[in-house]
Amino acid sequence: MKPYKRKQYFIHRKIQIKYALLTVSLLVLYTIILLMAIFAPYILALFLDVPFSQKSEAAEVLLLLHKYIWPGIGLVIILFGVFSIFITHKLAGPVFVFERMTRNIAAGDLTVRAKLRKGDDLHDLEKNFNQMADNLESLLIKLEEQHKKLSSYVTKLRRELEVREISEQTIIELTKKIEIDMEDINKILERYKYKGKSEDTLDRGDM
Amino acid sequence: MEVLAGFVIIGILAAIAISSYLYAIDRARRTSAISALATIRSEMETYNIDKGSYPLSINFTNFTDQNGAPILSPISWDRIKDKLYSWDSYTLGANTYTLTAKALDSKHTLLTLTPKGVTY
Repeated sequence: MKPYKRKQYFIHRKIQIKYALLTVSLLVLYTIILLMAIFAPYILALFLDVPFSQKSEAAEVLLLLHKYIWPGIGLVIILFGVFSIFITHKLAGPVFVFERMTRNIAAGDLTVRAKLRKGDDLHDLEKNFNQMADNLESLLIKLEEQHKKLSSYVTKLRRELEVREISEQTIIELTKKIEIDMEDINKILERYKYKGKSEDTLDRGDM
Repeated sequence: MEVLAGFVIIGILAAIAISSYLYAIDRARRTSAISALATIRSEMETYNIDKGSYPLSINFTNFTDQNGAPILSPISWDRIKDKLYSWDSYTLGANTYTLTAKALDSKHTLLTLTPKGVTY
């Protein structure tokens, strides 16, 4: 897999937009509560039975706040929304890479490896995923080696049988070799735990 | 799903908060206009004492009387002029006057100023 270079910040659009919206709506909620606390005394003064001088003072403060507070709050909310894209991008990027990697492995391609950028999070997961792919790949390589050996013995046995010049000595020799190879395959399988693993293999593992 | 529910709840809260907030701002605009007219009222009394009568007419672009003499100090006028939506009329009576103006609130409440005070 070629290393994936990222320049854009929308990697995993669905997740990132969801978290940006979540951030913004939490901020809106916070703003509503904060502003309620700030505005409440002035709003109360407007509607309660207090001297007119207090009412007019409250009105002036309220109008002044109304004029200046909204552009600032709007700016902050937009900034946080944009920031959240930058922040989630550090997670969404790796998630995207892992999704692609696992999809490829599921499809049977064990040569893929995850490669995260320096600033990304989830580097531990990257290491684990790559370790897993390494193990799977080396398992297949080992099994293929054993398979090659077995095939060569079987081929040899057949050839000997065809010319009918096979000695008992050779048969015993080849059978021994095949048994050793089967033993090797069992040793490889012993390292792994999986459903339907035969008791036979487990017993051999104890030996 | 729970995120959607959160959005809906926050949306409802925001709608309630915003509508009551806008109502308060509307009220503040009207109060501010009334307060501006109260300032004019006290300046009119000063003018009456100085000149022996209320002005014959008022030029609403800079709040001067028929001779171009200021009724309000320029500083007061600067503070007041943006607090009203429009200045509608000024009529002089026998030792009284009636000034009407509209407030900046959404209904443009008609305010009436007399030497006794502001009514609407």
